[in-house]
Amino acid sequence: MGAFSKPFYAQEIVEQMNHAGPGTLLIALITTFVVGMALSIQVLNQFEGLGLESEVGRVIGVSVIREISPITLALVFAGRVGSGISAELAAMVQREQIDTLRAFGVSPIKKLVTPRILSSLIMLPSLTFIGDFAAIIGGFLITTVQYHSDPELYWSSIRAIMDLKNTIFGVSKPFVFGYLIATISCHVGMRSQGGSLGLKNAATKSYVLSTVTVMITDFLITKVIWIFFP
Amino acid sequence: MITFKDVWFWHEARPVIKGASFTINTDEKVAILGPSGSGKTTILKLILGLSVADSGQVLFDGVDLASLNETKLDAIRLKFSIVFQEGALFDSLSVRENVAFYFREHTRYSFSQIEERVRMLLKTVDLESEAELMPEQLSGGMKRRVAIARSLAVSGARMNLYDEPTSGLDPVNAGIIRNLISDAAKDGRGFIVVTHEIFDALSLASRFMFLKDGQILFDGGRDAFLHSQVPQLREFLNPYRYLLDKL
Repeated sequence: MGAFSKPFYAQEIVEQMNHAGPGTLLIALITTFVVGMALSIQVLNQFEGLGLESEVGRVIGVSVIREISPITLALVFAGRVGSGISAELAAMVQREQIDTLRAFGVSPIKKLVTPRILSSLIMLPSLTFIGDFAAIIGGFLITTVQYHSDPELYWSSIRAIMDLKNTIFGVSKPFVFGYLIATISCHVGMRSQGGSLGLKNAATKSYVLSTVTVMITDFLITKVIWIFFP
Repeated sequence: MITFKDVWFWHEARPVIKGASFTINTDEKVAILGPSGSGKTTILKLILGLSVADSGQVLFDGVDLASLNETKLDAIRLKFSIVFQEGALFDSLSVRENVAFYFREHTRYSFSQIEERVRMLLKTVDLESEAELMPEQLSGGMKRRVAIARSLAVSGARMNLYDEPTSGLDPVNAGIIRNLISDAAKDGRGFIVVTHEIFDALSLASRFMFLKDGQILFDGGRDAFLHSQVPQLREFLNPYRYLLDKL
């Protein structure tokens, strides 16, 4: 737990949040909005003939909050923020800036790693929360504009799924994913070696490791939540 | 006082330092010479506890660095200042912020006190007007000068360490760096300069160590260095023999 002991680098945390959050927002909005629209087309085409139009909002909402938004944004975050962290730290290792920090009696873990982890713990859940809305609105547009469904029906079914279980899904996954992506990216970056190839390898390795870990963890979290909230 | 006792250091199954033993007082002016890849930089990293010896002991004032935790090692590290090869300036910080780094991390100086000290340090290296530039906007020589200014901020340092401080610089800039290294030692601080530039070493140091393939093959004063019979050292000096004979 030494990483979270004093001194705290508040300015570094704010800088990292600024990079990870606002810098990723537009990509997050676009991806989740489009995924929400695509999902609603799939769901509507399946449900239309079955007379289940009233359930479209519910299915879209549950899918988005529990799986699609956390996973989509974790992948976006791993690509944009995680790979960037790895490449940046790898460059600092190669240019002896990490050694310089240590030579100046400053812990690279506290100065560089902790702010990036804290920033990810805050920003990925925030982005996921915003992404949930973007995907649901994307679904709403397709449902009401293209398929002329009743808007109130859509929103009432969305309101119906705002329960404890979905809140736990919606909060826990991005929080855990944010921690995993930041930790993996920092670890890979700090241990990189060897010139420009080392930077490339660090960025690639951190993305691959992050995405695989996120997918496996997603399954485990889903399983655990279903055990405790059947 | 720095003491190496039969220090071995391995990197990826290759011995980088082979049984190094020596003592250096912190007020000495030492040059560690040797061809590239001979283990010179590793010695600096071992002194600072940035690398840990695989066997043997590295001691500072009699304390084995391997026995210290990171907090205690940090206190030892601040007994030194270091200028890494090419400066190792922090990319995300301006020249002014780089030089202010030590003050921000380790002192309770006010903003104006830090600004005043940074201004004086930048004046020392003649870079006052470059204070707001970022490292990528500087030439190689300027980067080294900023790194020297940053290292001079470490007020408790007893010894300055320089890793290839003039490597890749033109003669004018190399001369400026040599003068800064000499000036920084006027307050009684010693230094260790790691270099393969023989004339830099001769103009700065009074003690010379020659390293090849991780082994210290020579350790002594100027005359003994220039007239050493160690074959590897003679081979190292041979290209400069004509000029050295005129010294």
